[in-house]
Amino acid sequence: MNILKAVNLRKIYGQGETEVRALDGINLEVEKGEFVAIVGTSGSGKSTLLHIIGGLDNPTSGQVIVDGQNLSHMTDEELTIFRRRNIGFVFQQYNLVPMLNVWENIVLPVKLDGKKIEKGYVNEIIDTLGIRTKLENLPSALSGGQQQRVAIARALAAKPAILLADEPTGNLDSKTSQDVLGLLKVTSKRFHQTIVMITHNEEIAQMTDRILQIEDGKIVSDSGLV
Amino acid sequence: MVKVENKETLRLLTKRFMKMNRARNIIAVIAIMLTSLLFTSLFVGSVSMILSKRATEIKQFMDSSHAIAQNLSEEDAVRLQKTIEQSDEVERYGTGIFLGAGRDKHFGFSVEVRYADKNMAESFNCLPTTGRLPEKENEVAVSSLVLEALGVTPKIGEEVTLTWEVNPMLKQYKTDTFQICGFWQGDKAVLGQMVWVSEAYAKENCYPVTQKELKNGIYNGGKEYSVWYKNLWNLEKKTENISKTAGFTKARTGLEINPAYNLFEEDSFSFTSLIVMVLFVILAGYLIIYNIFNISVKTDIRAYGLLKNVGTTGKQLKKIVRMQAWKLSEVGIPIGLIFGYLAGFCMSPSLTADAQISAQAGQTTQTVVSANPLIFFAAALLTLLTVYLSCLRACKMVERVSPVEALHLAEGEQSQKKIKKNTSVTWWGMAVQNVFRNWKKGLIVMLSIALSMVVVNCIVMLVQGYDFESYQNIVLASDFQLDQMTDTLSNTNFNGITPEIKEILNKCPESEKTGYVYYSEERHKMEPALLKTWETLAEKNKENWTDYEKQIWEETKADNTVKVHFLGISEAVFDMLEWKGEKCSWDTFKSGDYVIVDYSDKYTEQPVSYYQSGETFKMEYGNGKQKDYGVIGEAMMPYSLDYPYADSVYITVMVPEEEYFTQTENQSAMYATIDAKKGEDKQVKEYIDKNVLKENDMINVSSVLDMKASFRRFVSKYYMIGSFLVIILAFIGIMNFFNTTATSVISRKKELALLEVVGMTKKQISKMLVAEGFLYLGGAFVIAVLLIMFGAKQILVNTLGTAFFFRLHLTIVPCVLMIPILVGIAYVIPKYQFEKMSRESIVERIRKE
Repeated sequence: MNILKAVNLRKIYGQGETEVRALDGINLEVEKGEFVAIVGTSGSGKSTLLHIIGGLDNPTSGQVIVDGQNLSHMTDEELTIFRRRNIGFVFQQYNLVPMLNVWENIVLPVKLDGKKIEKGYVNEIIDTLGIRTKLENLPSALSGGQQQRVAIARALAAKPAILLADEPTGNLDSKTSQDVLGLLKVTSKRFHQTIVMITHNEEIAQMTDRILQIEDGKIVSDSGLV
Repeated sequence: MVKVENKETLRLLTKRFMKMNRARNIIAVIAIMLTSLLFTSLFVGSVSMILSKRATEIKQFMDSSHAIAQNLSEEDAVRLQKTIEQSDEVERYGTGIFLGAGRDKHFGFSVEVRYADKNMAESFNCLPTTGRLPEKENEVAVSSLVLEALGVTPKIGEEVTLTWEVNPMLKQYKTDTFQICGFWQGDKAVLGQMVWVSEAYAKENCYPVTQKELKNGIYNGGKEYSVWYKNLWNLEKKTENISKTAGFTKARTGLEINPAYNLFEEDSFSFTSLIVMVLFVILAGYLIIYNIFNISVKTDIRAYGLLKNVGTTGKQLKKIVRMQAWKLSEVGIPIGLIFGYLAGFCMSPSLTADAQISAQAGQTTQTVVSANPLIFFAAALLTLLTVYLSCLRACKMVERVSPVEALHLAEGEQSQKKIKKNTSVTWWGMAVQNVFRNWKKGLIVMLSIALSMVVVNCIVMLVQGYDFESYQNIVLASDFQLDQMTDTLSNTNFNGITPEIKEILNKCPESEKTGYVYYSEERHKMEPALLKTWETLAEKNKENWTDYEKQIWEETKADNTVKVHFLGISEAVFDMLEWKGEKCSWDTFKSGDYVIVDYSDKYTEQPVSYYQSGETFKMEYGNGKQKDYGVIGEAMMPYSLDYPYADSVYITVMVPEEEYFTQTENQSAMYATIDAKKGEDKQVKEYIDKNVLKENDMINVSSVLDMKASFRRFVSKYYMIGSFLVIILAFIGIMNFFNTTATSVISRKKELALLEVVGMTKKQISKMLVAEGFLYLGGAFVIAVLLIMFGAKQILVNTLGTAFFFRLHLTIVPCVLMIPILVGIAYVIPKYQFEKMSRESIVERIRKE
């Protein structure tokens, strides 16, 4: 079953001579429960692709369909709500809300939606990610790896259709990177979670189910198609 | 859209944002507090002013009802009473009849004989405190002052004989003996002392007044009504409705609103100035609260972006900012309300005490400080409005924050700046660029500082504008002035300064000069030339004359005699005359063969002469004497020493006092004037209090001392409001400046550190920051001067400076004098901010983000 479908995505910055084609006709389908890595050099357009898939940015043309819903027809407000219900983000910079503690950060998207927190599920995530002892701490009191685990927990708490990870290990040392990636893989399996991850680290990419390579805004190879 | 229950979460976020911004919270609470303080004290002040004025007027003009109808003929009264009874707006009403002025040579005040029912007597504030209102025909209830003057002991059952004027035109009087059935403590400060008679007596003895007499100002026998409505809303409309229904179509007839309750009365209260002040407070509050929120949201923009990232909608973010604002208001407003009330409470006495400057020591002014809940409600509401307006921009900012941009910010990217080719690298040039880079914020800082400068300047202009000299000249011609005249012509005493009192005054050791003005009313057969002059004048003035005045003119014409205000003057007064043409010498005038005459249209550009110098003036005295005088010159008596009542067809003729005594055989003067020896005002006043008032305590003493004190109180009101405003505005201005420099330093922490890295010395950076400060304050100065030059004059003249003794002098001296203070601020604050920041090492500053 397709959880994510991108059709002919284009994103063009500037005009005429200064025109930059960040995305140039991307077509992509991701199955539910798949763990996909998008690799590419700096400036290849992978971050732009992730932002557009996640509804953070709009494509110049083309369509994104997540869990059967077409993002291009949504207003800003609808997009925000869609995001908090269907997309979980994990960023290189962790991006935790600085004034909320770990627990509050994790349950924030669920609470914003006015939903009841499924304590059992959230606790399972917390235990899986090994951050039980840090729940009362503020993000600033955590190490990078710990912050990233919290970010992953937050992304998972809302049971998103897709988890999007933008260089989740970019700021971490290799040991911690391995740990975080291991955790992502475990969650993908245990919670049957679809994950799309951006990385420029081949080694990390190798740990996923499928690797897409982007160059100059185009998909140049897709291990899933082999 | 599905409504989701996430208030709890938003509340949590709000709380956390608040926690993150402790310093901002304090500043914001202070700002909100100041705003609500300003509103509250403004409202407490103005409502107290209205209420105090009302209380004063109710007391002074003896009317506490909401609307009154006076001087009605019998048929008008019947119609009106019917309408009043039918109206469902009316709570109760009182009725009465004016019989006439009480006459007795012992009265030094006006006395009115009337019938009044209980409501009417209450509206006059003259209900008997002992006894009751009269019921039987031979009963009266009287003010204790009347009894005192007549030498009757205030006791129920005591007999008192009273004479009253049935009709002043017909010179008809009536004298009766009554039994006292009630009395109350009279108050000298009010318009008149009342004598209440029974309805039966009134109906039987009152003059059967008709429309014709009423039109000519003969009100004896007129019926009157006083009305209380169920509430104070829309008094004007209600009153008008009743008048119209009762068939009174002309303005100023029928039922009229009590001026004490008429807020729209020209001089009672200026709504425009209140609105201007409210707008001013909103602006002042806005300028600072806006800045605080803008700065704090900008600092936290990343957090807001992140929240949007994880799914907080723009609306929710907006709500978070709003909730912070409300939370801060929750703390700031109540404190502001309390302090505002206290400030209003402290200011009210000086706001209300001297709405009018008075040269007499006696005070009738009432001070009522209002604590009406509506005041606080309105102040709180307006503060909330100000807060709401102030965070509009901040709300928009968070609503529109783009989640992707937040990511960029998080990654430490600097927002892109346009780089101009001619970038200057001197500290001065950089300062100029920095100011222009953020010109909107800069403008707001400049405006808020300029605002306080403008207010300081305006207050100085206002206070300087009140000119004591020009006020004194109108009100008093000398240091002290004594008379025994009342506010109205009836019962006034033109001969209050008796030879005994004159003797006391002449003996006063500290007086420099003592002078007297004597008055008697005479008539003069008009020469053809004078008749002609008067005919021209009459033609010109006729349209402004009442029927009564026209009638006087007709009579004047018919028997060809004009009324003469015949004045005897002493040398001291002679020196005060205002001459038209050449001044003559006292020595010649003293001989008694000459008169000085006044002229018409005195206060206009082109006065009209009645006589020329050298002409002969034939005087035929009322006592039968006759004398031909030579006209020695034309002059006008100073306003304060002239015949004080309104009159239309007359001429003033002055002779020296000796001549006056010879001809009129009357040595009692209308006015005494005393100029004290230099610096001995106080002694003279003591002397008068001790000697003259002991002799006759009904004498009115006007003194330059009391007037000065009262003038000072009047002006101090403006000093007080002014310094209050200035302190708050200066505080707001400095706080804004402090904020702006703080943020401009903090937000450029990295940039400034980088400048240091590339070799700019701390000294140069600090110079640059100080230069920025100077630019802001320089801008503020320019804006302030422009505002004063092009706006202050109009506003001042039209709002606060309407008094006749107000002369506006445009000045920017106060602004210029403020420059050193501003320079100090511009120097100290940026330096302080930078030094505070420099405590961190360069590396720390660059790393941090």
